[in-house]
Amino acid sequence: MLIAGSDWRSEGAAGTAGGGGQPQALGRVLLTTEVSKNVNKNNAMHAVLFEAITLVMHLDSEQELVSQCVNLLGKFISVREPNIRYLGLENMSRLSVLPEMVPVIQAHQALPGQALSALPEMLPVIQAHQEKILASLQDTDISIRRRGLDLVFSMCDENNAKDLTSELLKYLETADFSIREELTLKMAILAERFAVDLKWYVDVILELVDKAGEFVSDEIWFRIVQVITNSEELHAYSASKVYTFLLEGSTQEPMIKVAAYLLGEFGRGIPIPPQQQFALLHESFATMGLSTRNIMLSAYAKMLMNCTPDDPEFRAKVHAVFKRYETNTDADTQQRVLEYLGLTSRPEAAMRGVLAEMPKFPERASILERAVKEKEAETTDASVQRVRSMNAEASQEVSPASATVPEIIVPVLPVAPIETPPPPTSPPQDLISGSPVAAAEPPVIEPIAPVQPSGSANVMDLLDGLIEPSAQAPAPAPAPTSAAAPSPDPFAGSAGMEDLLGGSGVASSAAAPAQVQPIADVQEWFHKLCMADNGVLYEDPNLQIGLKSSYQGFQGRVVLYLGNKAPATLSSLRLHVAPIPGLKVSINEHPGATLAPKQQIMVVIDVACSAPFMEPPQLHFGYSTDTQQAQQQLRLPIVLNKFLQPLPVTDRNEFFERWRAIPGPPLKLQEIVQVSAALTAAGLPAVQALLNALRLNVVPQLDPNPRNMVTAATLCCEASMDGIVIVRMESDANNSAQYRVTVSTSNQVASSTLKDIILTHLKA
Amino acid sequence: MIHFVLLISRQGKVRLAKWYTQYTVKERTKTIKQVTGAVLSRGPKLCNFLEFGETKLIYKRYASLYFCVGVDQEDNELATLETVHHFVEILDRYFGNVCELDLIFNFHKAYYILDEVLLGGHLQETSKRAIHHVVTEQDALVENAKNG
Repeated sequence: MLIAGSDWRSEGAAGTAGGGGQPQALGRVLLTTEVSKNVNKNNAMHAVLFEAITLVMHLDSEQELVSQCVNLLGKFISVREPNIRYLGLENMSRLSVLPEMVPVIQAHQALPGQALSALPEMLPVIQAHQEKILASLQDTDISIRRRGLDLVFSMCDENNAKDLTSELLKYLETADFSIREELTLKMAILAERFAVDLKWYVDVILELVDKAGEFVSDEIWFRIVQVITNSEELHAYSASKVYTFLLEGSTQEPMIKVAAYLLGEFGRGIPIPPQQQFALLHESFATMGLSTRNIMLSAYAKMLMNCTPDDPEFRAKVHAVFKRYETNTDADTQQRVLEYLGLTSRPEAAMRGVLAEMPKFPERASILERAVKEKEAETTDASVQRVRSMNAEASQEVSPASATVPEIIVPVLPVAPIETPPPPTSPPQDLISGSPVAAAEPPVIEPIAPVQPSGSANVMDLLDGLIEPSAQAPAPAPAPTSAAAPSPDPFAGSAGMEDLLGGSGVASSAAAPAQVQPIADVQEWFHKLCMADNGVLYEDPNLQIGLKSSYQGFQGRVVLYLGNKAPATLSSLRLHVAPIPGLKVSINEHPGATLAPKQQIMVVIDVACSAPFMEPPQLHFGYSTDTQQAQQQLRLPIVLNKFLQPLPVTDRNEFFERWRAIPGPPLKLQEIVQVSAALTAAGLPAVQALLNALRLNVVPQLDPNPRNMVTAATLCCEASMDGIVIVRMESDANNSAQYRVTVSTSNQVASSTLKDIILTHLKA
Repeated sequence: MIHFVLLISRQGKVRLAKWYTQYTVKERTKTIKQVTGAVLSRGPKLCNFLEFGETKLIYKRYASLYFCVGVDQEDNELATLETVHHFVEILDRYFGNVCELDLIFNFHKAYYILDEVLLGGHLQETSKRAIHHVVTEQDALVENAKNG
């Protein structure tokens, strides 16, 4: 019976062949199993009984049997024998995740399955079960406590959410450390999912942060901030609540982080003067860790700004704090302190612009739910993709902690605040239709060079600003520098325009079905993939395209992994790569037109470089679901520098002969460039690493001057192998942001293209 | 399936260890340490099942020995307890009122019997009589070989 039961379960037979006989046999087992004195016989009988219960739940065809099972389980939860209790709880939690049970659970309180009969006399029994389950949380046995916790989590719904969360909060105080983290995570999810009243949610979640202390992971408090920022009515309430907590003396890091952030953003909404808020926060300043301190510094700057009748004493106090950390060893702290000092010493207007309130967050899948899923075992391939996308999202989630960057956007743009950051391709369209300034842009952009000289700085900043919210962390420098500093992503800005010019009207074509937008910046992905061989090419709520590439000489193979993230099937899937002169692109097998949910297909693209080419090929792809459609044009990161092979330099003299052999343009091109702030800070080693990532092989100590770097590589093309590529980077002793780049190859197109690629990456 | 069977004394010494899936030597020592720590610290009235990473740990205490078995998540726990008891009864029948000393001095026989009962992580033979018969025959073979 036992083995038969597990066999049936594993084969998933839904009561076909032995259909008639099964329920009877099961019924008999359920009814006639009784407790016997002999312990071992007991075990055997109960083993069969539990197997039968599991089978009934799996088959789920006979309602009567199911209700019998449920009654039995209810009895088992309060049996003295701990084994039976444990198994009762475990099976009950299994019961609650049956798909048919879910609406039943939602409709009725506590015990799942009872609603089948929905007899009014069942209700007191249901209540009793809830109490018993909660009582099991206090059991001496850790295994039973764990099971009870699982069951509580799975049986929560709108009605009993309030009771259960308060019980769980009480339990948290006495819980063992091993389950605390999981407990806090699940409670956070519960509170959010079943929050009928947002104020209640704020209460519960802040209480959770207070009690759980160190076990509150970063994701939880990011989520809190997200939820609170998105609902305006909570701002003042949460600020005052958090202030109360501080008054009562909660001093753990996550609480202080949340408190500092909320008071900084919304502190002006509560009647308590900012000086008092500052004083209270500052008491715990010295004991906090690095990231918390940074958040607190930002909060102080915001508070100072909010103090509208200008209080010189307050300003002096805050400045004193800033000055103390002026020479702190941590670069982030130092940067923040210096900038805030500068900002707060200037007139009001500048401050107000920079430190304006954060815009609302776009709707994203809760990272908490994803974190819980991550904890359960998954297949490796799917999880690799998911982890990558999680990292992409998680890095965006870092925003509340580190960024004052998005806040810059507000004064620079006439378009503000941004509710949902538009994708890279549509803002240029808006600008073009809206403002005449942007309309002048198109003729300026040359089709080859992805890098814009700083001449069109104004529109670049506008475009950057629009693109910024969707690519927050990828922008390496968190510095809220003045507008004159090198714009973080000119590449992205112009490329966005380029897509519009070069390709079919992407955003405009989506008429009735909603156009699906990528969840992060396509330009950033492209950028990263130029330097690495593997990564994410594109992602939107339905589809993710990962890319793996390998290059050998003049040939390369790029594999695209298209994964369907959505529960719906993607149909009319089309993929097309436009060929370009100099690069042969061939897709061996075109994928089918549909992609089932959670399925991943591979598309292999073989490329061969016949001659130096300037532009990377474009990938046109599109798909549609029932409600949405997507059509995108992406640049494939198959750029000229991927076909470079490192050249070992043995003879220095021969090398310099070659160098001198090529006199100047068009084969040898030179340019002075201002590198991005991140590279300036990191210095020569970072530049060297960047060049190596671009496959230009930096040869150490070839150049007598230690401040210079020389790279040597060969460009492999099908027609002409061994085109030597030499790049020399000279750094300026006086200005660490300035470098002179000299590129020398045997082909004109190659020289200009490689120079542009290098300059782009240096400035990014 | 069963992943491993460990017999541990009250003092934490391993009397018998059988592994049915691939564990490296390091993993084995680590598992033994963890199991020993988890099982020995439990009180008498607590339930016999523990979560242990990917596997479930089911243990039963017989006098001074703990019989610990690691099984898959979907296996029936009570059935495993029954299997353990089955094994213990066979040992009892063979050694006649078995105690820990018997297992210490005749560990090779204990392994023979275990291999008759469990194969590849699954219960192989449910008849105590059959196993007793086979093992006594084997003993007879050994005797004959010794005598020449």
